[in-house]
Amino acid sequence: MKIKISTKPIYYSSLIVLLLLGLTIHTTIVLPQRDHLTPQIIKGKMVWEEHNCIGCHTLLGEGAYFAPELSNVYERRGGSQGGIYFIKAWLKAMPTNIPGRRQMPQFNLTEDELNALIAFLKWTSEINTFSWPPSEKG
Amino acid sequence: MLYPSQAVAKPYFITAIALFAVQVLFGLIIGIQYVMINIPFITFATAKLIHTNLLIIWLLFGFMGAAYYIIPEESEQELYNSKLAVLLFWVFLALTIITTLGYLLLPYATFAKITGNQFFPTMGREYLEQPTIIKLGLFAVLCGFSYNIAMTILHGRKTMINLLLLVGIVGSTIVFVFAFYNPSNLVLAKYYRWWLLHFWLEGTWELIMEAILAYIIFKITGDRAIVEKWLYIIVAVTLTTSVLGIGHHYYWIGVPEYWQWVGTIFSVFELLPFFFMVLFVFNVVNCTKCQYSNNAVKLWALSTPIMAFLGAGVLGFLHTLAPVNYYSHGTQITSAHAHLAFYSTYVMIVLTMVSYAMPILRDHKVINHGISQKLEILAFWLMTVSMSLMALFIAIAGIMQIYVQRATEIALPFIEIQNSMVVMFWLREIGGVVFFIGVIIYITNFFMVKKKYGTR
Amino acid sequence: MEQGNIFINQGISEIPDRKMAIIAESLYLLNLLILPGIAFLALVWLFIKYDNVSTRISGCHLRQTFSASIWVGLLLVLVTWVMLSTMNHDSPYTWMIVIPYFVICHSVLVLLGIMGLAKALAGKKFHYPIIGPSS
Repeated sequence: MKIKISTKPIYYSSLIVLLLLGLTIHTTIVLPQRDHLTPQIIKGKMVWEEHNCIGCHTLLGEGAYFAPELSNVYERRGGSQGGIYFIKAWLKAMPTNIPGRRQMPQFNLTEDELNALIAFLKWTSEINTFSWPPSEKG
Repeated sequence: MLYPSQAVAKPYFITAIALFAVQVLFGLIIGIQYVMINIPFITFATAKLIHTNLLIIWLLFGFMGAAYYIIPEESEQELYNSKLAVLLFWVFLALTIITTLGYLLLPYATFAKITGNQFFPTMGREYLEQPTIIKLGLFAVLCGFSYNIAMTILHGRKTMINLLLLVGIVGSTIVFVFAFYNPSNLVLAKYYRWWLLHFWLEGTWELIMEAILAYIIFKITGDRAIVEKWLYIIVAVTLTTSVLGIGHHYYWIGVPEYWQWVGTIFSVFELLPFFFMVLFVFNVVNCTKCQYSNNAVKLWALSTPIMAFLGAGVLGFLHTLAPVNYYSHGTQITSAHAHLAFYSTYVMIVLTMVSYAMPILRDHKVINHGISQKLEILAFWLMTVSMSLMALFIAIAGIMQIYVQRATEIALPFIEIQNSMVVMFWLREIGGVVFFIGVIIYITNFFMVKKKYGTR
Repeated sequence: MEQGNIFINQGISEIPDRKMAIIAESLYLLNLLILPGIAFLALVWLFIKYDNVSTRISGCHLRQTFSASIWVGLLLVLVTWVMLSTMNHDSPYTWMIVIPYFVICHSVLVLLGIMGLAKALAGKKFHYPIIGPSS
């Protein structure tokens, strides 16, 4: 039996690839206009990455499911009212050593790194995610 | 074995299943940590890092072994450069060991410092935690591998199976470039991270998986024409659905809203390739009078599409629609889907290939009688059933998590809900232990039993 | 295989045996996947109009899919409805039972349908375990 190979699917899939490229270009152009980055935020992202935070936490729902979502932690912990102080105190108080509770390591971040990380988390909480996560608890 | 250079596949397969055992072992450690027992010396993040990274690595070892085995036979040609294949094996193994030891012995931040992450930051993103230099090494290995395969096919016979395998392999290598692109805008970084992960797991790897499956089915039934006819349909469907299916990763990461529509519409159809795969294997096996008597391989090959349909297809579809994903994104549901999907599509296809090729590579007859067949089939059932149950338990935990943390008026904090899901996590851990027993039986079967009873 | 529009050129009872078996299995799957109800009605119509008692392949597939589709209705619609109407909607445990039940049941039924379709394509008979008639 000889198979007749039609080239039609190749055309369809290349149309789809073109559509993907078009949407990607649009997305890439639109994003920097909405999100304003400062050097501190960029440094905060680096702190976030170099301590493998997604090894336990999720950020915008991506990461591990062992510890709470952090994209809205800034707001959850008081926003401009006290988010900064809470997160800072929290990171310094780790590990809690409460028996039966999951423990977070002490990362010994410097004051500078802490401020950068919090600026990054604040910036992340302002991303327009169409009101995701559904509840404040993440 | 028709071509001596196919023997290159052997160390790849052995490494793959050995790393598989290690990976599952680290999975057990994570599982224990989920039920609130703190283990000294290793944090959750480290164990999870090794669990997910080794998965990707050993599957790559498996794919490489499969390609080095299949390609000479399909192209009717010795491997273009089998010395290169051996060299790449040792390089890849060294990279794997260095990375794993680095994760285990050093704090992640120190590892990042030592390997100079500050000069070219690519670390600390899920599945892409490897240091930048290791990523470069991995890229070199992939390039050498693609080159070797491409040159072999170029000089030999071209069939649908080996061309598809080539497209899958070269595609994976090209897409890996996105591992080095980490824009400082988090949203864009997430956007392009999926260009690597989605196009590997739901694109090029799926093509590789389909090629290996087609090869095995061809070997079982001996009818190339019908296999290629089906393969053509399956590949066409895969290509048209999976490209824009990438939208289902973009719902809540901060990109424009139209991605919710694109992702929802296209990922509905991502079930189709798996639908056709099940239809394919059962139709072909029904149509031909196959005399093939390695029952373990037949069992693996026929179950792979079924399990892929359930794990990747059904469980994926369950939370792929944007309105559902709004509630399920970033919960245990994702974890349930990831476990069953990885096992059913990629782990099972690599194990099918190993089960098929290893007896031949070890100079035994294709058919292994008696106890070794029975043990392998036992291992199959232990692994498949326990993984399905694990996925079920995690999914149930996920439903509970969604309900209590997100869907009710008075939502509870994350950590309190985790405590109430502990029964499900215990059940999952028991499933994991059974799975590990299955893995051990599978491996011992290769290294012990066949030496004694295998050759007839 | 005959070409052209079979429904116009020939009477319904002259649709080739294997083709009718494929249509029956496809309707079973369509009923489960995209056209619940409508595909079932079409299957009922075929079951009544077409020869379903003979030992031909089409007769076997028609009987099997007709019976299996009724089970589909019972298992997926009736049982789910009973569960939902008797259980407390405000408890997470309800959903922890109902959703997995529905998903597992549905996907097993779909898989059985795919097996049946594969058999029909190969021109063979198929017996749905438990939910198909034994003959």
